[in-house]
Amino acid sequence: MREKILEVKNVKKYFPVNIGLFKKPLQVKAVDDVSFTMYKGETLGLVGESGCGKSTLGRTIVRLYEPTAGQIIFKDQDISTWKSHKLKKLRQEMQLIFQDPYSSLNPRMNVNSIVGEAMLAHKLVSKAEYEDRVVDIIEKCGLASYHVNRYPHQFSGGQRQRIGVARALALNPEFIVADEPVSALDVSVQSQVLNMMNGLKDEFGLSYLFISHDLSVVKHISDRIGVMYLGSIIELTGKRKLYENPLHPYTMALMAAIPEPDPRKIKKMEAIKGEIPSNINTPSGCKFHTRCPYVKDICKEEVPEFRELEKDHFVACHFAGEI
Amino acid sequence: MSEIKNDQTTTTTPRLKPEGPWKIAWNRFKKNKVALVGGTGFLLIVLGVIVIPMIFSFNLWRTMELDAGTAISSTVLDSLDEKGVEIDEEFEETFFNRFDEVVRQSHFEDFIEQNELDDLYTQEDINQLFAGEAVGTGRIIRETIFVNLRAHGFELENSDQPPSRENWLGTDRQGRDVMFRLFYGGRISLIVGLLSATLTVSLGTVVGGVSGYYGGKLDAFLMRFAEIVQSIPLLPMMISISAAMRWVPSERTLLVVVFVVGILSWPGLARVVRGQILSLREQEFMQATEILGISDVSRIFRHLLPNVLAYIIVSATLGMGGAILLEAGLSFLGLGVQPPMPSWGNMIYLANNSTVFREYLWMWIPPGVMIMLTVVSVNLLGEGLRDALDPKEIR
Repeated sequence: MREKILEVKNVKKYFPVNIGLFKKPLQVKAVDDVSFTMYKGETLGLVGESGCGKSTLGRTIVRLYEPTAGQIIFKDQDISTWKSHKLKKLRQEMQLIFQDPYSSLNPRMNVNSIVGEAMLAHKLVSKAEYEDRVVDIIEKCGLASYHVNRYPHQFSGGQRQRIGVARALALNPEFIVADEPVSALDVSVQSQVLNMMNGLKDEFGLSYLFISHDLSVVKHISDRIGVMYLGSIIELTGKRKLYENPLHPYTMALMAAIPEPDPRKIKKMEAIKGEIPSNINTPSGCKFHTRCPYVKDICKEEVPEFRELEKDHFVACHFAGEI
Repeated sequence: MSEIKNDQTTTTTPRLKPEGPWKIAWNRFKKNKVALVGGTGFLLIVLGVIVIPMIFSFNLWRTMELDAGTAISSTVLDSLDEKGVEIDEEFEETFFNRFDEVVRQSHFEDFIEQNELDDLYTQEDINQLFAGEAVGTGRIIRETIFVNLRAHGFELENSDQPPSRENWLGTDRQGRDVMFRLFYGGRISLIVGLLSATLTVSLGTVVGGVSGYYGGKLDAFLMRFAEIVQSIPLLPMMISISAAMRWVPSERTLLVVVFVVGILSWPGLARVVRGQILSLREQEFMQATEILGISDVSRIFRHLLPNVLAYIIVSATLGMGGAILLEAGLSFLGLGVQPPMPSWGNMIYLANNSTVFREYLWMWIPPGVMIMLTVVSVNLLGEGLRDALDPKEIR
């Protein structure tokens, strides 16, 4: 049996919305009852369209947000209710790579401080070793030693993202949530950063939770892929199975939306229609029923169970396997 | 982190010693001509107001503590006392009142000519005392007055003189050297500007920082409070406070001005700092500090403050210029620094006399020019500092 590193159980994250002094407060159900397991050394991709809650889920897992409900079990410990000093310990094991390489680096700090600050804050190195360690890390991330004195504005987007990765690695974590790390980069730079991240994974024995909206990026880097829709994971399986045999109609629609370079191949399915519903008033029953081409009465009333239909292939659809 | 091996450290590119951000800022500042001019100008003004008054004779310094009226009346009283005149309280009171009125309101030479002094002393009791001396009372008193005033640095017979070799910027209504008062007054004006800008900046930064960082109800409370302070009309408030603080001795009125300006002008900066911190707090690099487990102190002082520093510096310099102007305005209205202590503002105040305004230009133009030069150089300096401290600014 593979070693579990992270288990997410029924995690919810709701944000209150203030609409007025005398009106009933509403909630945005950003993450709504998500469960999955991650194993050591794997990369789990998380895809979904904008606003489906994938970033919120990632940030809840690293405890940037406190979950509204549910458990996050990291290395056999429930971290979902941890507070300040315990969280500080957790930071050494779990890190986050940010999406925006521009706003995620303090413009007034040089690379030396950006990457090294956390090492000093956690007292991982002495002041004497510190500079060498910073150079080690940034060189592993594809930067040069003379970059340490430079400021973020002197770098390109790809280089900035490398600094972001170096900063996350400085604490020597085991688990990294990568929140759309390449979506702000040019395609040519994307692959460089992705390959670097893959290399670092083997070298440092990392596990990634890789969030993206780009199906080809996720396919490239992930071992397994989860598909999110409106705050829930609706399908989760190995990447080959997902791309070859999607079971959920939403996944099928996503696969159909991937541009096909071969003009002779005919698309099996029409692209998905309609808009993603509001996550304040989520649809009853199966959340996808408003857009699903195969919708039946039961879909509008009963929430489909997230079940293991085949081995290692989880799906939340009443008619999975029948469509 | 045992996986990292040290053998990978490259030796191909020599590692440069990290260049501190202050060094970089200084290098950038040096290249900015305009800012250098502003900085040099400000430095010269500061040096000037410190050094130049020291060159003048000690006597002039005493004119800062006394004005002519007080000097004359007390010396005359002293000399009368020496001659054995019995001075009761009633006499003293009428004497002071009369004297003050006469000396302050009219030109001193006119006053002598009008012989009002003789008038004053022809009262019977004084006449008897001076009778044996066979000298006119008026003359005695006049001589006493001039001798004593000269000892105090006043040269009344030398008043209203245009610039000359002795007095480069001429003399004022009471025969005091304008250049000396200009630079001595510069000290007062700069101190007022510096202190009230410091007060404004510290209050504004602390209130704005706390408000933006902690947010919530505290933020709402502090911001409503700032709005209340902001809604107080500055001038009427100043006039009331200055009037209420009349009991403060004249050499300390400058502290009243500092206090009033500082207390009333922080909300502007507080709002700017709060807005900046609110927007910075949502930036991903602040979330990154949380994820990295950086302490609150470090987050505030290493991450937030350096990013609002540019605004604080600009606001501090503009605030300093503004405070100098405000002090000048208040003094011009007779509510700021009180004479005999000079400030640029109350020196310009002389120009509300139409004779001075039309004919004695040397009395009020120099302080006006000094105010202008100071405010302009401080603002240029501030802008230069802001550019130098902004790493995004590349020249």
